[in-house]
Amino acid sequence: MAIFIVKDGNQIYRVRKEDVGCSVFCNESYIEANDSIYNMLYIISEKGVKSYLDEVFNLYNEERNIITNDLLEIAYSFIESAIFIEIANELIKTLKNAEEAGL
Amino acid sequence: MIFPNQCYIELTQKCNLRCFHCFAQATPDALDELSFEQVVEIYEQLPELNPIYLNISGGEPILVKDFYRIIEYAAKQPYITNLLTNGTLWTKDSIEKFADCVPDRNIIIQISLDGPFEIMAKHRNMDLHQYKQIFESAFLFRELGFTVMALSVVDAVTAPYILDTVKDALVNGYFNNIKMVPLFMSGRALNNIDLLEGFWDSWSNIVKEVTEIRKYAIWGELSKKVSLGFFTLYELVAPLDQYGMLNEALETWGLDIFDINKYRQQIRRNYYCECGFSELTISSEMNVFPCVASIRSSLNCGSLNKNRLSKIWAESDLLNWYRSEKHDLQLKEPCNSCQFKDFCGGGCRLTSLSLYGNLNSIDNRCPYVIKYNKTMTH
Repeated sequence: MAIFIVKDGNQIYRVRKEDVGCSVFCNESYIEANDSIYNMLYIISEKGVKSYLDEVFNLYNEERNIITNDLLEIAYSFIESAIFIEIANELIKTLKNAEEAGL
Repeated sequence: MIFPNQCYIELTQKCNLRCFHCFAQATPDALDELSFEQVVEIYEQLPELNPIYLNISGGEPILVKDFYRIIEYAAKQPYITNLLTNGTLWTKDSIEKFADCVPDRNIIIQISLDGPFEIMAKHRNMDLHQYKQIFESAFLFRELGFTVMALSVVDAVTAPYILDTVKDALVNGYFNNIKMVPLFMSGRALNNIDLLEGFWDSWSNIVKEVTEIRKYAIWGELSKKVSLGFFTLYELVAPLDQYGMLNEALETWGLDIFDINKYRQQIRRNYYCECGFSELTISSEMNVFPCVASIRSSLNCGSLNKNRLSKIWAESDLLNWYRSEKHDLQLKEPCNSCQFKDFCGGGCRLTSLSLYGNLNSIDNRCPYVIKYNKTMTH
């Protein structure tokens, strides 16, 4: 099935795979996103933010800074669009902590 | 493949009421209903189309023999599910039984409410006990933790009373929110064509008033709980235009009617019409129609008794016709010169078919078309 559910605080989002990218539905909003976001949300829905970050950095350890910046940009865009707020905050907090720890 | 956003499943055409404007032409004499096994068969095909919203409708769904079994099953599925009911047949026991089937309260209840009793009696053929039961049911559903919304059909008869009824219902806490929609000409409404008389003046006034209620928070906190629905863009834009309020399409209703790409994202569909893109409807005879308003019209896309849902959705000539980018009628006047032609695509094809017998004719229900025709006549 190409739909999965992401719970974020009190909000429930339904993410649907489209031919290109994905659609995200919830009561208050609707957005369209690319395949990377779809994959990111899928892993987060299954395993949580921390496991997602571990997986990404295992895969792209040498481009850690670039990936960190990209993920922060995505997290801030979530907050700006008022979606996935808790996931976005957890992403930001975890990435900033890792930066401060010199990882 | 394009996936529909929402799917209607009509459990039965049978209904205890006989509303003047019913799309489904529901009646107490109707016999067809879906069994639990048929509903499961439909649900098992849905993952091929990935709808988000699932609307369980009728007729009156509670009249179906397997109703509670179906609801218990539907509540476990991953869709945002709405139950469309007239609210008149519920009792305390039946609502509690329903609640037992939906422990997560994840089915939204939608009840029809068009005005005070006198109006409902005339429009929906109901008695006073049934009218009172609507509010009793809404209250009990809410008390058990369900989200309950009301849907109000606006026409020339209901319009003068509808805002007072809606406000009272919200003040008394019967509903979480109320949506008002314009009268649509299909199904039984075609037998009551006089309902169209004075429709535009009434609807335009409601659009203006509700827009102002939302914009200026005239009803305080309750203002956010009243909203408008529309089938075709002109139902929103023409009234706003009439009152010099076009900017409110974006400011109040969040629809950018001057940027086609933003607009399509805001209405959650890729094209001007739900048909072939974002909606499909399955009747209690297992036939597939392009939208809920077209149920039992000649726009039958195929039978689930003969083909899979995904095959009908992908291969139906009718649905693929809807998906064709440009229809000839957009080249006809007045649509060709209309600033909204790319947004509206020439209006509703079902209306053209229903009122004028031709899918490809200009939608003469559109106020811009009416105005153009008057000018040409003079």
